[in-house]
Amino acid sequence: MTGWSPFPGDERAISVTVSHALSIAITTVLVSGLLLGAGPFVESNERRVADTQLSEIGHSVASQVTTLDRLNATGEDVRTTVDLRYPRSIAGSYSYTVELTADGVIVESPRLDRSAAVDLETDTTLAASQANAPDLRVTLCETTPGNVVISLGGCD
Amino acid sequence: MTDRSRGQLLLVGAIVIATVVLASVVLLNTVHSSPSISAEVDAESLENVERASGEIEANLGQLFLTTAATATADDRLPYVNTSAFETVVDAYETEYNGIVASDRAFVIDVDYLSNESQPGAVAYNRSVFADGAIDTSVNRTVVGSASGGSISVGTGPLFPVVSLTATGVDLGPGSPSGVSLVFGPSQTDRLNVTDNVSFDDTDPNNGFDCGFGTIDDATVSVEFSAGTGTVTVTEPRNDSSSPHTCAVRDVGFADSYDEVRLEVDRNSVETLSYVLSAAGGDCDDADQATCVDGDGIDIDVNPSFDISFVDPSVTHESSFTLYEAEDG
Repeated sequence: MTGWSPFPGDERAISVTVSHALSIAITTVLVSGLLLGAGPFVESNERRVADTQLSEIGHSVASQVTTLDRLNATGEDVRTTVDLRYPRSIAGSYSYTVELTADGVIVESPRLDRSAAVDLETDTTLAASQANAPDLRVTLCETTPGNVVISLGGCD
Repeated sequence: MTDRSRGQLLLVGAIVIATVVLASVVLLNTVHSSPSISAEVDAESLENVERASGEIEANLGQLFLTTAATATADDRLPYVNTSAFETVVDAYETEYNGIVASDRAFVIDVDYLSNESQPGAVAYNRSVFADGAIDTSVNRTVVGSASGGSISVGTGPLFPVVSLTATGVDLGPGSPSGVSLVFGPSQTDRLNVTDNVSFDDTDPNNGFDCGFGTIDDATVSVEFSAGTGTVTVTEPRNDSSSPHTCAVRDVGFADSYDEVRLEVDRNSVETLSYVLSAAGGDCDDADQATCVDGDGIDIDVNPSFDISFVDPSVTHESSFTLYEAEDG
């Protein structure tokens, strides 16, 4: 059985089975490392994207509110309603709410535990109110004689 | 045997690489989405309202002034015949909707509220004192009261437009004469174009004093709308100089009045032109100047309007009065 060998006198060998087992083991380690490493990466990127999107929505709503505030100064008995449509969710599949306070706009995603606030200084009173995405209605109207407010959700 | 093993190794390697790529795509798919949020609504809608609102108010102001423009002069007198103005406003509304229909998706509705507008009188005149063509009745009542009593019109301005231009005026100390418009029931409120351009009132908050210094042969232009405006002085003999401007706001020309008088020192003014609109006033005084009032026609000196704006995502309604005193 002993034929010609390029390594005469060397009797070490490796079986095909062991070779494949080693390949699979090394691959498994590499893939597992990738998956484990990608988890925190994905999570941090999700938060970063969510923060950016919440901030953009907040600034967009704030822009509409300040425009309504300017419109209120253009005449008397001003009544304005604007319907806004934003994405149903942010960062993939997280719902969010938009809240108007006396100090500005807050956009919050409870599941992500993230929020973005935009402070506003307006001549018109901002009524505390809240609305869920995707459909928002921002209104400027007189709630009681002489009391004009900006709110989410419409005028009664 | 060795060749087969190498082929299997390459196959396993390729499968692993494909798996890694697929896993990456699946895992990172959500974070590959752009962080930019597009508000799925025409973000320009509210801006369109704001822009259209400004356009319409400016256009209605121009309509108001041009509707009563006289054929003989370029006077843009601040009054309208109410019935004629209703027609003009309706035509404007149609034209405006026709224009915006080509590039903006909204419709406006403009109504002239004649029953909420201010009726009154407009006194105006041009006098030349230097070349002999002199208006003989220089000092006179230019606007009076139809009732003979004191006029007060609530929250609107009593004098929507006060405009006066005088040439050849010597400003500065030692030049006490010139032109004055005298307001109020007790004649205490005086708009002076004399040694300086000022407004004297018993209420110091209503007065102003534009300190221009000594300027000879000056052209003085006073332009006020509802108590806010500018005083401009130019020096005809110094073409390179810029006009001197004094901006004034919230001047209370009077809270009530029974007449407005014009006082002119003909020796210290070369030419004089003025336009004065007075809510609730008339021209019935015996020594009246050139004046238009509601005798025989219904006129308004300060119109009010309703404006409505509708587009798919915005509805907007407001009313505004053309000459409206600012709050505070």
